[in-house]
Amino acid sequence: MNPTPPTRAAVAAAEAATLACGHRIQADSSFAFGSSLQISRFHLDNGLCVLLAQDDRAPIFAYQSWFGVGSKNEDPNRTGLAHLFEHLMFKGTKRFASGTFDAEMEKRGAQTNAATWVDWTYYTQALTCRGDNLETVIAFEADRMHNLVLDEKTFRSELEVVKNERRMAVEDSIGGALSEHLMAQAFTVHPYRWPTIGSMAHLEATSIDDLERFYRRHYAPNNACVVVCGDIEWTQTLKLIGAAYGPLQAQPLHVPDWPQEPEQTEARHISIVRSVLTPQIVIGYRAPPQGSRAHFALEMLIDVLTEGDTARLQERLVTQDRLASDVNGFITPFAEAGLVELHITAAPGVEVSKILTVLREELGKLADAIETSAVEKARNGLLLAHYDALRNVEGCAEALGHYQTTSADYTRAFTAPDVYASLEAEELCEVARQIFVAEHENVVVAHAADSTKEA
Amino acid sequence: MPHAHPTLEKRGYRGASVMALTDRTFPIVHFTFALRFGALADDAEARGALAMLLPLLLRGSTTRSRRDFNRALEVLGSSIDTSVGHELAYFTGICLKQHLPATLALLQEAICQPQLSAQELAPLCEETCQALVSERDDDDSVADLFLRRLLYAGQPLAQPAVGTIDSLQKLDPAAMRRALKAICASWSVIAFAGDIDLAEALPLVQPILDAIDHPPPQAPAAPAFTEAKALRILLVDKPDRTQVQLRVAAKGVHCADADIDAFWLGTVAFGGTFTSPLTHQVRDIRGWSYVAQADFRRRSVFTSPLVLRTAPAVGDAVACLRLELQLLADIQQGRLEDAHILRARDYLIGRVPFSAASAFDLLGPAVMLEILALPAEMLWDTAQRLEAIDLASVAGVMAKHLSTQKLCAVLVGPKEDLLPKLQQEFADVQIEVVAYTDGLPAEETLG
Repeated sequence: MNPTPPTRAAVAAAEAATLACGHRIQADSSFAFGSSLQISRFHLDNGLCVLLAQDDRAPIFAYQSWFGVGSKNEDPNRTGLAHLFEHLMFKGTKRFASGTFDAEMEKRGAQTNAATWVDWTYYTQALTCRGDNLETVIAFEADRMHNLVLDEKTFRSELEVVKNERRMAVEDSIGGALSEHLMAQAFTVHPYRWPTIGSMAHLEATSIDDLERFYRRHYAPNNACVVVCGDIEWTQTLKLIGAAYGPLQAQPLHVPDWPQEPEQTEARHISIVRSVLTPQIVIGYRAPPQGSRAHFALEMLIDVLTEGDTARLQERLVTQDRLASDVNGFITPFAEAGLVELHITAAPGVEVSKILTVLREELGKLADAIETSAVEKARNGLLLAHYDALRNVEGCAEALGHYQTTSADYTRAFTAPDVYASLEAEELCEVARQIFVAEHENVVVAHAADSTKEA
Repeated sequence: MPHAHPTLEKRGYRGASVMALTDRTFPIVHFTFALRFGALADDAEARGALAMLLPLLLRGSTTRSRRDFNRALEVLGSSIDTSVGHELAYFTGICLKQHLPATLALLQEAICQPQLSAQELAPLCEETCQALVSERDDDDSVADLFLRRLLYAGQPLAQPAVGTIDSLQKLDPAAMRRALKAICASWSVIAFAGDIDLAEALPLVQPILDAIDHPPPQAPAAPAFTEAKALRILLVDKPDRTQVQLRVAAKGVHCADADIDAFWLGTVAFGGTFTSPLTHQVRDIRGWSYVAQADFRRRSVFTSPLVLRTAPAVGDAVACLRLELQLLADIQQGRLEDAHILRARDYLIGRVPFSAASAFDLLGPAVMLEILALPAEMLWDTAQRLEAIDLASVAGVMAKHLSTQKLCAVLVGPKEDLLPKLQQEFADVQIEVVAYTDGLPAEETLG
């Protein structure tokens, strides 16, 4: 699925906005999804990418600023920097004192948030189309892209918040601890191996200087994509964006060659001791990058394995053999090769080794045959989830920003239905054969100190 | 261009309410089949019956095994989930538009031709018991569980809606058949959102309602809050923690109370935004907790509590509790600043278009208003009602309804670190201590 040349309306909006704001804006492509979503992509001369999506069902819009920087861009000795920095972006700038952003957004009913992961960081606001809401959010976002003020007191206080976030999400969370160990085990050289939240030691060692350098290096218009989805008028929106972001200077971007992860040649298992009443297990295998055909196939395989009462692992581990109380599957939506993960909660008193034996048996069967009805189930379920994720302006903006940032192709947000429809059982079996290889297995088990039931 | 609200169509049928909110942007339909009662309707000797009944209905019918039933449903890509709380119970579903008739036919089969076999009930109860054990591994869930015990001591509300390990082990098919009688047309609200209108929806649900058109059993009585006479602190001992899940709770205001909107606004002004006093003091100034918010459910059948949620490091937890109590004492003395109230009101008014942006956003609130017998116009008049509140009255409403003497606090964390500090800081308060495994049979707590 490819974007088409920009529509006349997009070109006209860009030309009119250029004239009005004095900064050149070019329309470079358009795309229509069904009859309801019209999307166009624009660029400013400083490299800023702008995606506008028209959705006039309600007088609201989502405004998102995506940056091509995540935890994979960090210094291995300063992990957690990208996420910590994201927190500090809500503090003061040279133009607006600390607290002004939150107060101004709340006054306007904006829901604000941000997120950081391995490949990206993004900031989101959802507002009504009333008054000068659009103009105001654009002014704040353009300002904090280059004018942020980092002071020691604010930094120290926010550092404590982030350390508490880590305690909640990792140190006192079984699931978080399992995921952190899994990534560290499965990746030996690639930066996906360290946690986005960072290690406690690295967080405590972070200085204002580290943050300043990070800001200058990664926060620039040529490393950003602004997505606006909702009931917006394109010429006016582009004019405001051009006027606010147009004067910002592009920065030289350092795009490293990520180290190629060597092929895993033997299975890796570790156990961690936690205060748990029932052991929890996560198994991961290296998975192809998001957007690849094999990644879509793995999404369908995960459905076959774990989604619903008739999914193979659910039936075998939970219903039939009663070895587990819960089974879930997940594929990392990463720009580069990530992981496919299976999370299992053991039934009380069950030995983990028994669960792993059954699990391997079921993964082996996937390579042999998959019923047509299971393929149809996966196709329909994923199609439904795909539509459901796009049903509001925030979800639509998020899908566009994510794919534009990770692949420079926003239309990938809409390709899934066609790929699911084209994938048949034989191809899924072949992908299963390639992925679920015994030597590529990574297992992490969390169990209680006095338990002898580890793998 | 002015925007029309998504259209809400409603029709009564055999005592049930059937509603449709149309949005044809994508070929999908969400639906809710709500029952106007929840786990409180369970017999005292069959706690957890309703919570087991709803999923059991989806585990096969008289004509299809569990496997065949779920294969038929899942091959469509459709899903039907169940949710049973103390107040209400639901089937909720989502499907592609083209598969809605087949999906609802399966729901009809589940409800109207139930199997209710011991062979399916036993494993379901066993899985639920396992979930009750493994939820103790999640500190957030543990805090909410023990807060409920403290707030509703001695009442059914103090127990999980799914029952306890003891009560679940006693359930049998006869209890399921008794619970099934409560699913009747006149206690049902069925609502759709998405690529559907009422004319399309009605013929799909009429066969279900025809089949369950029998008189309802007696409605359960509304429970009362356990009113405390003084501050109560419950320390839930969980070793090896770096952080404490802290809850401070007070009785809230019922949705039929004239003060409801002012109380809601006051709660948001106190702890519902980043700049509110609770969040600002705990998170921004001190960095004590990533989460720092005050929650209150404005629309519920029974009065909901106001709950402060924070998660400070173990070393900061007692000081954080003291700070939260002080902030509540300020509120109790009417010291909620006008600027915070005004900003909270502007914030809530600004959020109104989002809560009504699409049919999907309106589905849950529309069902809740119908159950509470409140007018559907309340879906759209929130801004006007907020505008109508006399801001000068909000601090007074908060002060009137909150009593710092009647608060209760739950801390989930290591006793050896927390108890000495709590005893020192709250010397005149009786501090109860329980293990986080309290209530589980001994064999489940061995790890």
